[in-house]
Amino acid sequence: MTQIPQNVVEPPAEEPGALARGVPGRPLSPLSIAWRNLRKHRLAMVALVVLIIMYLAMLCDGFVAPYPYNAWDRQQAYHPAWNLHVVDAEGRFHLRPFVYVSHYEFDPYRNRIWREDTSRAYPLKLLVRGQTGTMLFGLLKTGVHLYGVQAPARLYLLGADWQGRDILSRIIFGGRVSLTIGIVGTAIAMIIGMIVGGISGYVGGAGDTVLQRICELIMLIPGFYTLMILYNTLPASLTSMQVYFGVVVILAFISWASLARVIRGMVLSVKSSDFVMAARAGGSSPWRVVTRHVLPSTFSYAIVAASLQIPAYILGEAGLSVIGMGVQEPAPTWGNMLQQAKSVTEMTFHPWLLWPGVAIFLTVMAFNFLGDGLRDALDPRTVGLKKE
Amino acid sequence: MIDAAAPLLTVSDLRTWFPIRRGVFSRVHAYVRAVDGVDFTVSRGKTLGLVGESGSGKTTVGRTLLRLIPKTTGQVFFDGQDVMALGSGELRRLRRRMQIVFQDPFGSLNPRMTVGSIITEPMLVHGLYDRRERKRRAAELLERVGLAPEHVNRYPHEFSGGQRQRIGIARALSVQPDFIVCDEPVSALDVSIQGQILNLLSDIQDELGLSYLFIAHNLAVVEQFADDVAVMYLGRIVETASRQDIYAHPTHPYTEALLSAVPIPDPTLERRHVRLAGEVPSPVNPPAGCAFHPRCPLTRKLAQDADVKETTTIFSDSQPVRIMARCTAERPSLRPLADNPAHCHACLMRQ
Amino acid sequence: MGAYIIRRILIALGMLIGASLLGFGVMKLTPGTYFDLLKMNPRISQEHVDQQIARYGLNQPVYVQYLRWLDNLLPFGFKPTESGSYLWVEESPAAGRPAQAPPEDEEEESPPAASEPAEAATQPTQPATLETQPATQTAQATPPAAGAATLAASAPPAGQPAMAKHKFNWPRFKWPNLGESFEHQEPVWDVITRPMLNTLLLNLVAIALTWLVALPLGIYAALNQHKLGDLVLSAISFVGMSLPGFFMALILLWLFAGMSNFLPPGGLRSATYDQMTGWHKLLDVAWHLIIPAIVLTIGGLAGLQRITRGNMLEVLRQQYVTTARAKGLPENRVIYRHALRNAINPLITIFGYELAALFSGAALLEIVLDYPGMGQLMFTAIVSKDEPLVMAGFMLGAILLLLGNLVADLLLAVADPRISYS
Repeated sequence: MTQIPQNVVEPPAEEPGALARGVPGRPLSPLSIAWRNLRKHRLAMVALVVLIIMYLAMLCDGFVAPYPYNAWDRQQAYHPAWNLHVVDAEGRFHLRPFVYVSHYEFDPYRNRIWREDTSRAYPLKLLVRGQTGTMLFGLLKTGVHLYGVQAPARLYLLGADWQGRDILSRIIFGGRVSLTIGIVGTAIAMIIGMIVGGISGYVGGAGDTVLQRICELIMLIPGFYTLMILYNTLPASLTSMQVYFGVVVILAFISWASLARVIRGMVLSVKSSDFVMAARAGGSSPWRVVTRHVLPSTFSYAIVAASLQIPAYILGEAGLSVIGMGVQEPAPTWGNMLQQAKSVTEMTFHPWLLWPGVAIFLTVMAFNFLGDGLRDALDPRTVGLKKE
Repeated sequence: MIDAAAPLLTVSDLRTWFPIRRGVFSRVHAYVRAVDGVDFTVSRGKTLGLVGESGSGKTTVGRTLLRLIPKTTGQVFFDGQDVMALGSGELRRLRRRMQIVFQDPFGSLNPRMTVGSIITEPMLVHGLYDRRERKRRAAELLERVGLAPEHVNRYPHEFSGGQRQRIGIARALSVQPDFIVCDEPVSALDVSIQGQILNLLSDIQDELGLSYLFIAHNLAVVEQFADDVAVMYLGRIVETASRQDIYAHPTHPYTEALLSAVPIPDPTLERRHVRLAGEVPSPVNPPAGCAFHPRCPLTRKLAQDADVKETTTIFSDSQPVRIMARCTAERPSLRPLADNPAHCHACLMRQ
Repeated sequence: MGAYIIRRILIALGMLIGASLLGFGVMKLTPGTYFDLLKMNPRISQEHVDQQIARYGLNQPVYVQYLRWLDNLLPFGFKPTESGSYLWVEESPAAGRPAQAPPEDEEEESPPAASEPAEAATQPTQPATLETQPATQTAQATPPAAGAATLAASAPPAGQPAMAKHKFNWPRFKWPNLGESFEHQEPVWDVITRPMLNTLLLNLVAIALTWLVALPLGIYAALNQHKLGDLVLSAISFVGMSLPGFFMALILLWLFAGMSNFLPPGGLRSATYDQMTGWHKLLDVAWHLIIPAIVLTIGGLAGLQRITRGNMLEVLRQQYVTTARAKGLPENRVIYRHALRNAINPLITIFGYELAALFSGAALLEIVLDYPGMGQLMFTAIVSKDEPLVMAGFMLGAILLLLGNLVADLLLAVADPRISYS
């Protein structure tokens, strides 16, 4: 080392990991690496596709569902799932599936016995005109539905509830509540968590102590009791939209604290990192340091936490609705639909009332898989955010 | 501008203590005395090498004088301005003139930003140039530090350690500073790369007339680079002199020990190896008197010949050791040598 | 460590006060009270309801209600008096003693509080502050001037016994009291003991089952990593983690209570329980416990099985396990003597978190399954606004969460020697 080579601009190409001049290919941002990682995660990709389909169906609910959520028909009360036939009563095969209208009579135990009237077949049609429903959260009206049959026949693929409403249509419309509550709630909790955690971690001092105590307090209270007590504070006169936001706020209220604490921890560790020192030494204002350097470092955690927290909101809403606290009939949510299935007699004779539970289960599982995949895909070591 | 002969940076009696909280009410229970009374100056266009073992507080000195860490007491004057007294607006203006290059070439670059935005950020926050000019300058700076201009769109993780350190240097240079704290800029790099980075730094200094505070844990690196050298031990400076003086005539026993650890490339020369007893004591509870006394070979040697009254027994590595009593009683201050006022040291036995 | 625990407990006490304020405040946000329903019932007299409202202090400002509740709960505080006033004791002539000798009375009453005479001397200067509360608190027509009358120390004429004499009610040690349930009209403690024990029973059974099943499965999965058994188990884990407990309970009810009659449709006891004899009673309870216990077990199983598997795999990669194998130890000994203990040790912290969820964790399941536990009780109490009962359940849940977190942290220090609290 005593000899100082004079040529300083010599590129150190022999160094491991060195990026040579004119390397082809696009720059690899941490995000593009994460996306590449995620695509390799098969289960997470399946989950992502399932979720995309569910959300599309929810957005186009009035079109995808054959009936509006409140279209009732007492004649069809507790009708089991309609059979789609391809072979008619005379034994002839039809390429286009069709249904028969059925009527019920009571057996000696007052149970409904359904008999199909095979005199006339109603073929399944795609893109049919039917009752006008709304889609895109009620912004658009549509009279055309993805599938359906001609009246007076009805096509209830999953059966009907006590008012003769189509369970499948109600599940699709119920997504408006059940699929959005997690995203809206997580967004609210995340914003509060980022602000509180960011201030608490970056500023420190007495404010930090106070905010931390508040967070601990929120985490200390028993969650489900608090949910019930808070729900009970909502006045009975609210519209279902207002109840929805009430429930979102209540759910966010009991879950922002744990996010704030984790974000605070991350902010604390990022705050003392050299690149934050470098930004301060470069003259960046505290606001810029926090918004451009500190908080973005918590984003990958935030994305993973969000995808893993969404199921908790869906379950929280469903749990409240199942015991009658939540968005009320006739507006469907997966939870309040399940409430009808709560008694043993009800579910024994009409087990199709349990279908909304399957929707909850599928959504929660998809989010769990996606969250798992995101956690691996966003691992700071593999996306170039940390030394390997 | 002030007198050109005056030093660019003057640090006097700088202390940085970190509180340790404990107990039921988390009262302040003790302090880590990371920097405990440090004085030095950096002349214009020159380099001061600040050397010490890990834990000696040298990194804290660099960060405190840039006000990245709050000081406890002391003063820092940069070009006549009292750095510690500046308001936040003035401080930001001053930051344009004082920059830092970090030890860890990975941790010091925000992994989510492209190299281009890392380099242009300081210009942006100081409102220098317009957008296109900043981009042009970033490409130019990359060329200057030995990288390709097309690397502006790449991310830090795509580069090697040495290349990242070059990016860090380009960032520091982007606002045309007068002074750069180089905080062990090469110690995380492979030896083969260290020379290249040192050469780059020294070339830039010649070209732009920069002053450096060059922090290192190893006298060999500083020997290449520094005009003056200050040696730190446990938060205090024990010896400071010009590079030639410190290498030719070290006066503090700690400097002697450090120097003896530097390998000499000439096999015909021989150097006595000084082995230090024990470990660096904790800065929470530094030894009384001269902080170096538990490990000092000189005081042990002197105690062998001295009067019993002048000596005392301490325990080092659980072994009783006889040393000079004065070393445990009196805190030495940094004093110039009689024959060379530019050479100061803090050893009671040799003052 | 000692200082750490003391610190944690002091913080915990503060936290509990905060939690009680929060719970009380939120409950007071709820419009109306329990008695609004009674008022609408024409068969209950209005005066009776008003009396009840006054008895429970619901006609007073919220902060007074809170302070009364807190005072009731603390082991040191004001003893509730006949009149309903907290700060003033009414010394009725019925006590059989002539009310003429106030100095004697004070001496007899005051040994625990040495500063009493001094305080008593200052009383005349502050009736304005002290009086406001007794004035609103005394529901039974205590004249507002009564306080002032006593303070003036002018003993009432002997011929007027109706003019009661008032004395400051000094704080003293007493038994903590959770208050009285509006709905059940009996002490909260008596109301909640049964449901508490039921919840405890269910959770303990579920925890025991979870551990008994999860540990062997986790170890099995780790030892057969990537083989069929492991894959099946992780698939089941994922399903278990995603299947909501209440939905699983409904499915089980449908399968085993609806479609077939293997299991009872919820509850904890058959209608004929009282006619059963010893063994049958036990079997009956066990029979009712099956569905809720299985649901809770499957819910906890998924996580615990995954963690055990992960820990075990981690340990098996360690060098000391390789060393043990290299020494030529039989594989069984390597696994059960060397690896297993180190894999399970860190799991003990989970006990703390299970303790935390002991009371409130299964609330929803209890409500859905009609299980007579705390969740069910709290649900009805919240809906009917039975405040003392709600507060008791809420605070018990909070205390257990606090305790559970503390225990988890301490167990972590026990399990991991690298962690110390100082």
